[in-house]
Amino acid sequence: MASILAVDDSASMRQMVSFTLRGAGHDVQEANDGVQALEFANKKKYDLVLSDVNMPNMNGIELVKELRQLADYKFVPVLMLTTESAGDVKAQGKQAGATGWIVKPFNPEQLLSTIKRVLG
Amino acid sequence: MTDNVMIDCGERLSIEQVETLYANAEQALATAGDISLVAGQVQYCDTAGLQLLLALQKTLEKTGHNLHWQSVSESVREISAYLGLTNELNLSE
Amino acid sequence: MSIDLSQFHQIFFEESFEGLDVMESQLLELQPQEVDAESVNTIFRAAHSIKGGAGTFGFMQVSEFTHVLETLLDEIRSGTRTMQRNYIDLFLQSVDCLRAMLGSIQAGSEPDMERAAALKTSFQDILKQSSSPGQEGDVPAETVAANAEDTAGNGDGDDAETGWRIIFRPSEDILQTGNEPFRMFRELQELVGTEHLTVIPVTENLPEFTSLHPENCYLSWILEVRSDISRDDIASVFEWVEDDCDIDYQPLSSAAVKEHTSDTGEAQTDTEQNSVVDDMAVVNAEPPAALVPEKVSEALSAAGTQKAKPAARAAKANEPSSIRVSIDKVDSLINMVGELVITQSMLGELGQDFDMSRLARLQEGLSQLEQNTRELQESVMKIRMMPISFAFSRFPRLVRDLGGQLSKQVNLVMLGENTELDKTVMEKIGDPLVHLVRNSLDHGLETTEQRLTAGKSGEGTITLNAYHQGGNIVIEVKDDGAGLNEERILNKARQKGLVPEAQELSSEEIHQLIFLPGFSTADVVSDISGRGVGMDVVRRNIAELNGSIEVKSTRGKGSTFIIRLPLTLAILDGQLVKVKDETYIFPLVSIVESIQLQKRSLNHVTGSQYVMKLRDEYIPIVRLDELFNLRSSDEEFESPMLVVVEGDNEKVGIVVDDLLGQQQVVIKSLEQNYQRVTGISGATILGDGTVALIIDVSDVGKNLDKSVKGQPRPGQAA
Repeated sequence: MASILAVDDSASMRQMVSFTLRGAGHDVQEANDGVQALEFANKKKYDLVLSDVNMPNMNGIELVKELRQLADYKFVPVLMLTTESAGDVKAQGKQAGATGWIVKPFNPEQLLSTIKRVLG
Repeated sequence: MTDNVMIDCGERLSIEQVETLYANAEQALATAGDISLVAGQVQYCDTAGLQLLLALQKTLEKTGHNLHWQSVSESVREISAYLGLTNELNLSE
Repeated sequence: MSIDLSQFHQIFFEESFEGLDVMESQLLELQPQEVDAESVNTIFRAAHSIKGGAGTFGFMQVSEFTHVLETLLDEIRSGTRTMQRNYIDLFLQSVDCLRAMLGSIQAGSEPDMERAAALKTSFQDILKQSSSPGQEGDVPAETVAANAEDTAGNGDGDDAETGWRIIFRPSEDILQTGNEPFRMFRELQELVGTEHLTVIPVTENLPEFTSLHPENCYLSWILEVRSDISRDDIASVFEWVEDDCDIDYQPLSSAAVKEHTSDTGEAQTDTEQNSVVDDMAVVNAEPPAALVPEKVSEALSAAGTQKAKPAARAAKANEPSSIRVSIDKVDSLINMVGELVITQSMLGELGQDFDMSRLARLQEGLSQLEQNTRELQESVMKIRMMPISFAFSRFPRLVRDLGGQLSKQVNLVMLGENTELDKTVMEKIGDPLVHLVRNSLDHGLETTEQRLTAGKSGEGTITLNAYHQGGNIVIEVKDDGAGLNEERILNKARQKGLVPEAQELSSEEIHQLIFLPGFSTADVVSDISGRGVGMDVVRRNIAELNGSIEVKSTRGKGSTFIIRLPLTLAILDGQLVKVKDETYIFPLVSIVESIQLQKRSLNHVTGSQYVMKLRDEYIPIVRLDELFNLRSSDEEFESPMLVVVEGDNEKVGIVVDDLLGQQQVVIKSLEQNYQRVTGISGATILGDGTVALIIDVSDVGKNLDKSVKGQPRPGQAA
């Protein structure tokens, strides 16, 4: 269905996310951090980017800022995976150009229903 | 109908395409006639795309001209309905 | 769709343990006076990931506990609080606690929450006593609960309404962030049903075409919802855009009293302080959850029943040990296999129609093959090699904790952390190293006062150093403490009858006494190194790895324990020897020297036991042919060789017929293929296909007395 770039430094979260998305028929590319995600984004236009916020090298907020500089990613939906304790992270994310967020912890069903808000 | 200009909306009538579409429509407006939209191939459209057509239509109407749908895809009808623009865009059958 | 989350548990545990290791090492390096922002960030990130994963995979005890320490870390990270020494202690304890919790969960048992609860209270106490009163710290505990009630109350009020008029004025740039009004309306429609939603566009702000910026949004909408849906449920649809849009909710009801409630609701959500809390409420009332309650409860109960099962599976999955190999190592292997294939095809072609004129090429090819094989062997061995930092990593914490317990100031220096060592050797050397470090801290280093009195710096230093030497890895555990007390050691040894009263010993000999079984110098067996394990056990453990240990010590200056280990257990540098028609192998490391045996230098001691004077010392002599029943003792050697070997710090001379070459041999376990045989540590297959046995040097030495006393002779199957 859609091609999705999933960015998280935690392998278990990444696997859970991509397993869920693949199960729903999406193509998923995994990236460990913002730097790697940006490399992938430069090579291909994904329909959606799902990114963790707290990551080494380049965090999620910086990633959105960088993505929005790319012509291909000017309007591509970017969802941040964040936790409820990180209140102002959402505001920062929005300011950087993120489309929305998914609050951790989430289950696969919540992930899919949230993604529906920006796809299709 | 010599002054009927056609605009092809392509497959995506959406925000990534609106700048291009805007430029095409601007040219079409300069011919000062009716404009026909080819939108039967549109696979995906969004608010920006439909808003552009709405603005085009309103501007045309002010000069006594019209915007016609030569063809309309299911996607255009569906999204227009969600946005409450079916009547505004003369898409009701 | 229901997804079995348990399949991700194992990897979650692995990365959480890694995260805890990272937290621990960063915490240990942290100086409260000068906190490095990046370190705190790294610690925070690790805690944060564990919390997120634990929450996602249903380990609520873990995620709740991690939440409190994360909160404190966040305050430190954001600068609203400064790091203090006791925080570091608390964080370190939390790392231990989390490790234990995760360990229990992984093993399928309930984690012990007592410690977590105590730590949690400590964190909450800290969070309460904020520098500026009444801030964040309290919010999660109290305000959340209060607010949850509020929203619940609100919800009740909303439910009674007959509907809402929502005036939605998006910001101009809403479309550019990927937020699409039609999707929100679609979601709303799915929530309430098509017939209950009316969408009325407001186009009055749409400019003339010529001044239109097509990427901006000029439209706004009035949405009329005729349903008993709560305001919160509607708000969840707009949650991503509510901060940069104007959204007005007007109840479509005539009941004026109710309007009052909704007003208060509005006032509340608008206040800054509640916005965090509001988000939490949103999480709880995620719209899809409300939409398909049976699905959610299904998922929840599924998650519940999975809990026990996957944990048990995880414990099993833990058994076969795995190894992480860097891509570089794998790539170099692939390269080498590539070369091997080329050589093989070259030789194959050569073999098709070979004649003597191509002999030179054949030889060239064979030598190339030999080189390929050697390189391949080295590379494969390298895969098993890991930097010794894996074994060293536990020491900063250990030294810190022990130093604290003993009130000794200790500085730990670690050198050569990148020195590589076979994984199995690494796993087995861990405990002996811990023992040595504990010993150095407890017995080696003096108290601060003693040090100062002795004119030393108050802070003691323990140095761990690893380096390669020949085919061995050397690990030194060094302290700058008092050194071994030779007098006391000797007295103790005499007391215990380990050394005859009359016998005089050199300093070096005295030092080695500490490795004797049943020797412990500490007058009071302390909790720290006196756990019933002595240096003899350390030495035995190291000997099992084909390694050796010795100690060097200078009174008043300190002691150094030097461990020598083979790089790997799978390959041995061997000296091949000939005894009658058999070939045996001595580990090269154990050989002190090989000499031509002079009959006249042999002396009889007791019965059949020969000794020989070699320079200043007498060494026992063993005839390998006799030991392995290859020849009777009256049969004479033609020109015997004596291989002097050292195992367990005892020299033994072993008589063989001849010395053959030296070569690397691959060790095959006898125990696995046959059974344990005294005096033999393993076997190998030689180039010509024959099997050669590898001599267990310390075993031969140990069995000397026994053979003298007429006990079962080595070389016979045990």
